[in-house]
This record gives sequence, structure tokens and C-alpha cells, in this order.
Amino acid sequence: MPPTYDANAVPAISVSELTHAFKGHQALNQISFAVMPQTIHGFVGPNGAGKTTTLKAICTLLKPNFGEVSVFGHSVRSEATAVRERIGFMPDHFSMYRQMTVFEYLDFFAAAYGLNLASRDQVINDVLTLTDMDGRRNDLISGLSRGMQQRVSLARVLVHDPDLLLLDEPASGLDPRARIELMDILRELRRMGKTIFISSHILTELAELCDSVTIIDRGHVKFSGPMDALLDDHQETSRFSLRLAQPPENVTELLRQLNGIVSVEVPEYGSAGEFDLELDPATDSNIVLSSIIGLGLPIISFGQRRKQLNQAFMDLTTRGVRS
Amino acid sequence: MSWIPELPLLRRELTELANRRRTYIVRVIAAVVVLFLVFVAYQSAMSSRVFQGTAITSFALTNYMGVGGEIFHRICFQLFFVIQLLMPAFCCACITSEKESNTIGTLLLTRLSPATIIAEKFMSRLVPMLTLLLLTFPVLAHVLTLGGVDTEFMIGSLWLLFCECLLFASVALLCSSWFATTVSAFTVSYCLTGFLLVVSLSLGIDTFVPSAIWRNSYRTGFSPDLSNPLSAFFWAIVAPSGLTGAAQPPLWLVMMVKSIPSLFITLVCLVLARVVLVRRAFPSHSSVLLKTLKVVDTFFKELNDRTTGGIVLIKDGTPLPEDGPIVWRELYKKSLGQARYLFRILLVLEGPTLFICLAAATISANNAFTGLYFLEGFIWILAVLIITVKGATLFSSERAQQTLEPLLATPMTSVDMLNQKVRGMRRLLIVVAIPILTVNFTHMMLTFSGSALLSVRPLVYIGLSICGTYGLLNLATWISAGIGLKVHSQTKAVLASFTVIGMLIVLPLAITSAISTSYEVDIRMCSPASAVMFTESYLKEDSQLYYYTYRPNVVTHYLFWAVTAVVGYTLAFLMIRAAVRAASSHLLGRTESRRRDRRGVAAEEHYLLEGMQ
Repeated sequence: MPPTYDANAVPAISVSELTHAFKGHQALNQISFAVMPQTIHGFVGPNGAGKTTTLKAICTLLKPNFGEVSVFGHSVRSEATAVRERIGFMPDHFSMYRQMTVFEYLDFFAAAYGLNLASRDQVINDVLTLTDMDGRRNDLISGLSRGMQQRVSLARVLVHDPDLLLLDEPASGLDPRARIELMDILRELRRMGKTIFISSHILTELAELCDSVTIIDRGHVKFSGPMDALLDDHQETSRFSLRLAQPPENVTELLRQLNGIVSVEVPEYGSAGEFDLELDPATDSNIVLSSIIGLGLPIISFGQRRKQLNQAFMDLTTRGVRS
Repeated sequence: MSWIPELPLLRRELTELANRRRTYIVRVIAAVVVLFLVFVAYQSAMSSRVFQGTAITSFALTNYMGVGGEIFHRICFQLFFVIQLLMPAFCCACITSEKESNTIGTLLLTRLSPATIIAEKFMSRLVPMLTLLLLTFPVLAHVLTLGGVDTEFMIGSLWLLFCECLLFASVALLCSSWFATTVSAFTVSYCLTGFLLVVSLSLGIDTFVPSAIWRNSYRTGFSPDLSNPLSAFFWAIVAPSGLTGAAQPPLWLVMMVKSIPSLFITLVCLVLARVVLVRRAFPSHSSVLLKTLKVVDTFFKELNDRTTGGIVLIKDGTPLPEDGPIVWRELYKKSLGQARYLFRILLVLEGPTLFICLAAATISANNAFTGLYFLEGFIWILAVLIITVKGATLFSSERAQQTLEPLLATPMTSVDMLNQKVRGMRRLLIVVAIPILTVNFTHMMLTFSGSALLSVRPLVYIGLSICGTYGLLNLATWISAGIGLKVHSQTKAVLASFTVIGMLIVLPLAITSAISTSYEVDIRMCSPASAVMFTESYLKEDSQLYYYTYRPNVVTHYLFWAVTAVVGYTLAFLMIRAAVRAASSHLLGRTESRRRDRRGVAAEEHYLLEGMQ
């Protein structure tokens, strides 16, 4: 269950009219959005949309031309050090010192974040436990698999106990198992009170994981808000999905004859026995369901069709490659 | 015209070169430099003739007769130098750039054979250099009209210039084919070509370096060298056949025959480059130096185990970073930071230096033994090369390995990062400074003996040497570190640093040696090398430095100039350090708070486990 949060709380990230251009190319054009604390916020957009530029501006690695970005109320321009202490940034590539052991690597960053020497050992053990890497403490990083390196990267991000995690494509290049495990760790981190800002192209997983989402395209924010609001905005309230076990041959005709059903279609990429029904908006869906049961059809499932995040994404973003 | 091969790779390379703005900038700069050198040669030769006359009258024009030969010689000498300087830089990235951008695999999967790839890459890099040399042709034509240029010698010289291009390009291409990174290929290319030149110069072997053949031909005349077995064999066959048409073979033919060994080396390098192209297409990116040192380490460890049973007097600690993680990484995780590896590098540098110094002290009766000056110059060049590569790659290597961003996202300030990086170089600075100071110490011991050693001059000399070495090495460090911050690619950072530091050192000296001016010493002071030169001059004699030709009333001691240079360049180092520090956050592309608040995060505040429970 997504956590509830105080609407008056200071946003974990507040981006206001952020604008940035590289050599005449407008990467970001007055984008604004906010991320509430202790949520997982997805940041989605096509290639070249401005995701990495935004992430860099948030983590103080880019001085924007115009606009304001603050992290837990600290401005990235004037309070960069305070911002850096509260964020953990994981870039979209493996940023590893390959000739170090896992422990040395984490200790290096613990020192860079100014952790006390006495406490580092315990902290590193904690993050290694959290990322399920306890057994690899003394392994050379160069000998680890991609998935494990990603876990070490995540452990590195956590080593100074930041309130906000900025993750740029954390699941890219990982096998399905490693991806699912990574998502589990992120859910666990949210439960522990972390705010997670995640940029990813794997929309199905984001839809399950995120509480809120921002969709950006060509330097403009197309949508920003709770995930449910995005999907509800694009929900076709009169469309339902019906799945039957061993449907008779004339099932389409039978369904069309029922009151309240406007059309019946077999989805192009649907499972066997799956039908898309368009209902008359004035008709109660329960009455339609009763009618279907009355036909004696073996129903597996009946439910309102909810638009997928990828469909919403396609609707909101522009077709074609950005020039 | 189907018999003409399509050469797609050559076409692509030339198209890429043509599409880059940098190509034109580099060519313009190179053209300006080459033409400046040509101008200097011209001016120098002409002015030397002026002094041969007693007065500038209409009769003095006869002094210019045959000056073309002298100018041609100077121009050729400088063109050879330009080729030696630029050709490895032009060529060393041709294969490594494909490896670095992961396109080598795609290239090898095409129908292009490895030999074709090597040949087309080779040609693509020769074209820019040859076009650069073409720039000088109009000047050469003018020089020819001045008279004094032997036509046969000119043809032979042009041929040898071409051979020099081939030789240096092939060596760099072989390095590019072997190594994983452009920086490695670049460094080793220069080491190999430098080694070739040093061997040919010091041992007087002129068979495999075209510039040496040219120099020898110019110096010794035009008879076939029968001491050279290859040459003797050739003349034994050619001369009786009457091919040359005369008892004395034409000089151009002599020069061409002599260039056969260098062409053979070129061919061997190209064949080797083709052989290793596929085998080394996907090499490990780990440091070659580190791997070499580890092999040496293993050897010494085994030797120690066998001879002493494994007694270790000073054990390696396994420290962890305390307050300075970056300096810790530089000192314990880098090949040029770890004490035991640096000690071995020191032995490699110091061993031969000590040997030569001791030989000079025991064999040479003359305290003005010039070999030590060459040694000192060589060590200085080596030291500056090492320091520049290391300084320029301090941050650019982090960028190349994509490890910089997480580091920049930490609360450490940019100045702190920079300081720690440079602190990690201190051991290296000491290692390269020791051989320099050894030579300085030998100079002092050769010049003074007994109680004279306790006089002011040797002590001042040693003091100046130490201060000068400290200031100049740090100057090179901070200039290259600053360039490394600005330039993102490792190769570009190293090349830019070499160019800047090289120009800074060489340009004022080149100007003073080429143009007679009343401000000769003042201009020479603009080169950091002046700090070393004036210090050495101060040691040798208490002679007063006269501007005898132009400003006879100005009399100054070498000490004044030496102190001025050492203090000036130490101040320059401090100013550059301050400037680089001030610009560091901007150059690293991060925002920086004015107030720094780097407090540690206490363990008790760490609630990760609390949250899990």
C-alpha cells in the first residue's frame, strides 16, 4: 500500500520552472514538479527528453540556467553541501573502482561522506545485509556479476543513510531475477522511510512500484502526480475485460445480444477466451455481469479495463525520435 | 575504374576528419608552427650571412650566395623534428579509438580484412602529415632559387622525410593495435620512437632512422657507406651493372638505399600491427604498468621466499581511508602511488643515473663533463612527461571510467578533491626529483672539492636546485591537473598538457636561438627551463652575464637570474594552483555552497537497521 503523506509537508524534491540549454539545444523548458517524502516517484520519458539533465540538476552536478530546485527545502544552488548530504545518487552506468574489494569501495565512499571511522564497519555491514551482499564483502569488484555490481552500487548509495535516493536507470542491463530483487529492495527502502526518485524505461515495473510519476517529453512535463491519477485520467470507464474458459463458438453473438453491451471485440494480443466489452455508460456493470452469468458461460474474470502505464506514456509523449 | 579499391575505411576516416572543426584548428596551428620554424630557419641563415660581411653595402649581397643550401638544411632538420613530434600523436589513436568506442568488433565483422584495416588506417593518418609537409613546398621552391641546394640531396631529403613519416606512423600504429587505451599507446609510441632516436644518435647507427641517414649524408658527403653491410652488398651489385651511370652513384640513390632498413622496420611494424589487431581487439582495460609491476612483485616475492624463506622486513599495511579517501585511493590503489612500486620505479631511474654520475666522477678528469647535462636534460624531460601524464589524467581517468559522478555527488568540496588528488602525487614527485637532484649533487661534487664544498656557492646551488625542482615539478603538476579538469577525454587532456607545457618550455628558447635580440635573457626567462639553466650556469663560474653585444652597460650575475627564475616559477606555481583551485568546481561542473558543513554521520543516527526491524 502506498504510504499516505501530509500534503503540507516539505517536498523531498521541488522543481520549479527548471530551464536548461546546451549549446542552443533546449534540454529543459520550465519544468515543474514535486516529489513528496517517503514515496517512490517514477521519472519517465523518451530518450533525449531531459531526464538525466533533471537528475543532474537535482543532485547538484549541473547548474541550471534558470529555475529553482530544492531538496528537503535546501536549494541546490546555495546549499549544495546540505543537499549532497541528504541524497544518494546512482548514475545510469556502473561507477565502480574495479580494483577494490566491496568493503574497500564502500569504506571509500563512507569516508567521502565524512562518516566516523569507528562507525563505518557497522554501517557497511548494515548496507551489505540490506542489499544481500554480506558474503561478498572481501570480493574484488571486478569479479562480480552485473547484478551484484548493481547491488554494490545501491549499497554505496545507502552508506551515508540518505533521505532521498536518486536512481538513474537502476534496472538497465539486469536479468529478470535481479530486476525483481532490486524492486523488492526499493520497496523495503520505502518502508524504511526513504524517498526514491527513479528514472526508468521499464514502465510495467514502474507502474507496480511507484506511488507517483512524472512524464517528461522534449523538455516539457507532460504529467506529474499520483500514479492512480495518471491511470484514471486515461481510464476508459466503459471498457471491461471478460475472460472465459472454453467459450462456445457463437459467444460473440451471444454477448452482443445482451442489454448494455455496445460492442464485443477480441483483443489482438489477448489470451485465449479474452474479450473486450464496451458497455453503455448508463448501464450498471453488475447487471451486465448477471446477464453473462445467466448465459451459463464459464467466467474466469470480469473487470474494468485499466489503461497500462505504457499506453498512458505513449498517449502523452510525441511519436518519433527527438531531433 | 573498378581496379581502384574502394577503401571505405580510409574514406570514413578522412570524412570524419573533414567533418571535425578541430581538424582545421589543429592544421592551422600546425601550419603556423611549421611556417614559423621555416621563417626562423630562413631568418637565422640570412642573418648569419650578414655578419660575414664587414658592412651592409651593395657588395654584401654576395654574402647571400648559396644561402639556399643552408636554409634548406635547417628547414629539413626542423621538418624531421616536426614529424618526430607529431606523427606518433597523429597515429596512436587510430585503432585504440575504435577499441574505446567499442566499434572494433563491428569493424572486424565486416568484409574488411585485418590487413586492409591496418593499411587504410595507416594511410588515413599519413594524409594529414603529408598535407602538412606540403605546406612547406612553396618555401622550399623559393629556397631553391636562392642557390646552394644540391638537387640530388633535395630529392634524397624529401624521400627520407617520407620514410620518417612511414617509420614513426608504423610504430605508433603498432602501439595503437596493441594497447587498449590511447593514453597507453601514446606514451609507449613516444617511448619507442624516442628509444630509436636515442640509440641511433648515441651509438651513431644511421641505418634504421631516416633522420639519422639524412644527418649523416649531409655531414659526411655523398659516397656510399661501405662499412654498412647492406649498403656494401647493394653497391657490389648495382655499381658494376652501370645502373647508376657513373662511378660515383647519385646521392639520392645512396640515400634511398640507406633507407631500406627503416622501410623494413616499417613493414615489420605494420605486419605486427596486423597480427595483433584481432588478438588484442578486446584487451583488458587494467593498467599495463600495474600488471607489469605485479609480475615483478611476484618474481621478487618468489625470490625472497627461496633465498630468505620469506622474511619481510617492512610488511605492507592494509590501511583504510580515514579522512582522505581520494588520497588513500591514489596511494594504495594506483600503480604510481604505492610505495613499493614507486621504489622499484625509483630504482629503474636512479640506478642508471647513479652509474653515469659515478662514471663521470671517476673517469672524467674534466669537471665540465657535458654528458651530465644531457643526462640532466633527459631526466627532466622524463620527469615532466611522467608528471604531465599523471596530472592530466587525475580527473579525466575518473571521467573515462565513469566514476566521477558519484564522487561529485558527495559533500566533499571540489578543492578538497583536487588537493587530495595532488597529494596522492607527492610520492611520485619525490621519486622523479631524486635522480634530478642526484645529477645536481654530482655536478656540485665535480666542481668543488674539500673545504670549498662548504663555501656559499655550492650550498646556494644545491638550495636553488632543490627549490627549482620543487617549483618546476609542481608547476607541471598543477598546469596538467588544471587542463585535466577542463578537458574531459584522457587523451586530449594528456595531449593538451604536453602541448601547453612543451610550448611554454621550448618556444622562448627557440625564439632566442633563432632571433638575435637585445632581450635574449629576458625572453629566455619566459621558459621554465631557464630556472635549471641559470642555476647550472651559476655553479660553473662566477662569470658575469653580459649583454655584451647589445647592452654592454648591463652587467648581472647568473645568481640574480637563477634566483629570479626559481622564485618566479615557484610563484607561478602558487598562482596557477590558486587559479585551478578557484576554478575547480566550475571545471568539474558542479554547484558549490559557499559554506562548507562536512559533519560526520554518527553511527547512532544510522537507522537503516532500525528501519528493517
